[in-house]
Amino acid sequence: MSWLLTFSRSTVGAKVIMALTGAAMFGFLIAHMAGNLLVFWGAAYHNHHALFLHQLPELIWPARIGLVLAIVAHIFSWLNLRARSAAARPIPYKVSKSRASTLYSKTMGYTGPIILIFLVVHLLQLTTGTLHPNYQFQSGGAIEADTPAAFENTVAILSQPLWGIFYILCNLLLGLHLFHGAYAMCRTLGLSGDRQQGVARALAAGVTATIVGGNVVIAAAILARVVN
Amino acid sequence: MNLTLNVWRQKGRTAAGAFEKYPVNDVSDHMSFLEMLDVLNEKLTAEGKDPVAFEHDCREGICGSCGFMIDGRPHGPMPRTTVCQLHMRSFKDGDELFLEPFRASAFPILKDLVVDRGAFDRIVQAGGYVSVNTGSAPEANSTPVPKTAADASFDNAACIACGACVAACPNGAAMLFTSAKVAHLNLLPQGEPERYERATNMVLQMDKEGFGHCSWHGECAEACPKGIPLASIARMNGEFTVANLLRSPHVSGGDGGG
Amino acid sequence: MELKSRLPEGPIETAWSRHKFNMKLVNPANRRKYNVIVVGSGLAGAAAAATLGEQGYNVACFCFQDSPRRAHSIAAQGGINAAKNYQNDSDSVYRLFYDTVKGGDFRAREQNVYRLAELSVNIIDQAVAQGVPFAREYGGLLANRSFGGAQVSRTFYARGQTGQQLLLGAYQALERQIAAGRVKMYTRHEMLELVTADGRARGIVARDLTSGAVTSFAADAVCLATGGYSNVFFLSTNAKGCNVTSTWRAHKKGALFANPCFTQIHPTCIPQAGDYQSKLTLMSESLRNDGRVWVPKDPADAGKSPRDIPEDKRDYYLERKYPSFGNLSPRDIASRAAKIVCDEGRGVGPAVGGVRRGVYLDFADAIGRVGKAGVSEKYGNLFEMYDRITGEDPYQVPMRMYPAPHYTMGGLWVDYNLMSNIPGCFVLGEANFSDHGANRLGASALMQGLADGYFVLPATLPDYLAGVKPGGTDSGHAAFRDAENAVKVKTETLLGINGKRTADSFHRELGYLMWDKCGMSRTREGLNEAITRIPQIREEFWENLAVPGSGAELNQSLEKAGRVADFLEFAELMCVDARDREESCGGHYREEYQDDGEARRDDANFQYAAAWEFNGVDAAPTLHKEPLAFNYVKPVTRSYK
Repeated sequence: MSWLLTFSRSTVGAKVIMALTGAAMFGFLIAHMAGNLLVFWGAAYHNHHALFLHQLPELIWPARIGLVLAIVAHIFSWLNLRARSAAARPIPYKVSKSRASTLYSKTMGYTGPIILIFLVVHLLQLTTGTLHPNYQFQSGGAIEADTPAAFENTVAILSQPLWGIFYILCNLLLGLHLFHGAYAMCRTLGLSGDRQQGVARALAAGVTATIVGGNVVIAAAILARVVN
Repeated sequence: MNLTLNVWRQKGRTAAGAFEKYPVNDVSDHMSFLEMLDVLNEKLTAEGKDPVAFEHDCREGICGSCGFMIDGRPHGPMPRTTVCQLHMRSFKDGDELFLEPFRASAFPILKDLVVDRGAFDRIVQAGGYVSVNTGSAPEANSTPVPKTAADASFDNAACIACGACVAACPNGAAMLFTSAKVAHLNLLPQGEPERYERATNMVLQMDKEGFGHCSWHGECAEACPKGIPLASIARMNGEFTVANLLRSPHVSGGDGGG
Repeated sequence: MELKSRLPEGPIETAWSRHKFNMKLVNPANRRKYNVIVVGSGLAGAAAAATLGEQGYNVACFCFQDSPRRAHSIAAQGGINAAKNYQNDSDSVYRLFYDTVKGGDFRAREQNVYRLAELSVNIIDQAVAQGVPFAREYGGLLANRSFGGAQVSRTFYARGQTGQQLLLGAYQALERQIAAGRVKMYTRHEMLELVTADGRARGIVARDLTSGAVTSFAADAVCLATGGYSNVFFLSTNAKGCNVTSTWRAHKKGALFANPCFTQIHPTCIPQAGDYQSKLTLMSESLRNDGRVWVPKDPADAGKSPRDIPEDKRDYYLERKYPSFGNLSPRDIASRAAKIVCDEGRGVGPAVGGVRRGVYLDFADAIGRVGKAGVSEKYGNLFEMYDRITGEDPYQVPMRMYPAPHYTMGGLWVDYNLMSNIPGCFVLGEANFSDHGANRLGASALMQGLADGYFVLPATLPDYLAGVKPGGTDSGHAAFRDAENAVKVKTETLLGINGKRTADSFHRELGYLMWDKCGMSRTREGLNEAITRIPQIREEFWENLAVPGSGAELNQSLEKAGRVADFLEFAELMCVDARDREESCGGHYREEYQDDGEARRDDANFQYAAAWEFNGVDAAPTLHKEPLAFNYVKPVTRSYK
């Protein structure tokens, strides 16, 4: 397995790990957003979706563990690369002007940690209920009593203006990260042709718009009491 | 025109450096930037001072010797130009400019604006060649090369190893330089037999030299005086990944023939 | 002294093969015992160092630049000739040989030139195998073009960067040997002495340009591949660092310098813009295929905008004087014609030192014929380069051109094996005198550098090495101590003058003098003036030079001063040779020897290579003549009328 160690320690390998773990998180984000769109169909559908997932521990737990590992690997690779790039130019320029960097590319190092904080808050509110003022469970049977009332819990948070705005803002920042992340992911994984370049850009825009658009619409709808 | 230059002065590799301010007067539009520095150096020498050291040789944009930062940009404000081909008509009277060496830990400063780019040679040593001894080559036309492949290869072979990509990269990465050589050779049938070893060994050497990674800002390709495409980095990443995850590359130098 | 050229006898077609068979070999197991020094890392040097490394010798390679890839071979634009006959236009090794001997105006050795033509095909094979991206046709096979007025298409090219691509091929082969430990590379090292002992070359003394350390390197053979001396003119198309130091210092140790007056002037370079000018930029000769050369008829119009000068007030002087070749007249003829019209006061562009030195190269007709897009497709990158340097758009106003020194055919005298008259000291590429005679054909410089480096030296060097015991002299030998001391004394002297003038200012003064008196056209009177003037400049140099800093650091002023000191000595020899050669041939044009502007060659008296022996800086050199025989190509007079 020394080849894997050599690979993961290289700058290119570390970026490939970030790209692959990023791809896994993209998959999760799309599924997560799609599931939450059920709020528009009402409490019954949304809660049933939660119940359905709850009844599949053999799917949920590996996914959760996998996602945690992906996040950890993503962060570790980033810290490794960041340390190396800091060492690659220990003395900064007196004058520095950029020609090609974008808002997205330049803010990756800031949007990443913000998203991590948001993720922790989000988990504490809606997965563990630790930070939730009125965390509820479903009713009906033993399994239901063990399953959070996803719809009520979500609406309780997002209908509060400050939290609602917080969620929307965090999603916009997530969008900055995803847009550059998706493009970089395609390039890091070797999409190099002229056409592939266009594919990478289009894919990045499409996926980012879908995820962020979906999440923001849900949050805005709850905030505006369209969904309650 | 009259200009004020703030030039990084540093006696040697380990000496401390600082900016010094020099007024330069009566600069002609038709001078190249280096000729303007020649005039400054003649003046400094006449005053018994140490002239500003900067690297240069061909002065026609092909040898890759010259290069330093002018106001935060490698080779100055004009795209696709080396500093020897940059003319003073790109500036205006009264401009105050900051001249800094390319900064990267893999490019130690030797003096003033002169840096040591030996790391680039060592990256080439790791695999930037086709292992063919003199005399063993087959007839040149025995292997047709599609024109598109030859042209794409050439686009990468145009690299002059000036180091502007490293200087411009916020991570101090040498990805564009390294990938240009990987792409130049890997796009040709002649480079095919060693393509995976080449990508692997050159990337590992690049890391060993202390260069950073690619964040896809694209600064390198914008700063490149020869227009090496950013896509070459993507190509190298692909080759490196395939080599390491799907194959078992032979990680070590060739035997060098003989 | 007898010049032993060691030319093979017998039919020229098989001369090189027979010669190779007759030479001694070094057993593969013994090769690593031999140390070989290669100075210079251009096409000839890098190719030689790489190939000798592959063969198993212990090679040390030196260059003054920060990387071997920076050598000035990299700047060659046009292409490389090879007798592949891929275009089925009746090219052959014999035709390339014939054209080269004729192009050299019958002042090169037939056997050398034949070998060069023969090896040209192997160079292309080698370069392609290395991954040199030559231009190709849509079918995937190699493309060719006709170059420099040749009647066949035998030039291989890689856009306008053929030199760069060929050098990178050789550089990569060299780096491969460095990685394999067969070649030790010394970058930022300048050779300052050739060390000889017991009549043989034993090594070199070099200065580490970063630390200033002066070190001896012993070897069983020393190969100089250090390029030409065009920078004796200060302004040339050569890189700023190009110099005559290594060959001149070898000359001072006894190596003969041959035909130093044979220099090539390239007709299409961007003219000087001001007194601060540091170098001249060559524009590809291909521009003359579509551009028309003219100057105003009336000197009073010289300052006017070209578009305000009506057709009947223009003098298309090349078309007028040489109706059959017109704008495509050979390099030397086109260059001299430009000088004549400028000397008449009809030159255009900015006046530098009171004279406008420039002629128009006008594309208006071509743009009218094929449109701007058509012109752009062919010359787009050249037009862009011109615009970048001059700030003028050649689609709108004609380009301005003037000739500039470009290549030097002269160099250290070598025998057929590329060995100088000092046993163990070999000279390759532009640094030797051997293959181009009095004038070099376009696209032949790259060919010669690579032929010498890849194929000739690796075959001839073993013949010498087989006769010497490896490790004959170590760097502790007294000869090395003496040479090191000489370098140290010279360095200290240069640093200790504490005068007022920079090395560049002396170089500029020398260059203008050489350009004026020993440039495109020469006279006995002018050469005598230069021969009087050069020692005076030299004297002032040693009294009034300013070199700041110390010898124990990176000191670019000191490097420059050492090189200028050598040019100041070398220039005199060049003028002496030019004065001595009382004929006009190739790039050497003596105004006294002409017929109505056409060069008059004198085969009866000057059909020889002039090899000069050094007798001291202020002493007259001794001339040794190597007679040239032409058994295959019968000398004829060139005519382009």
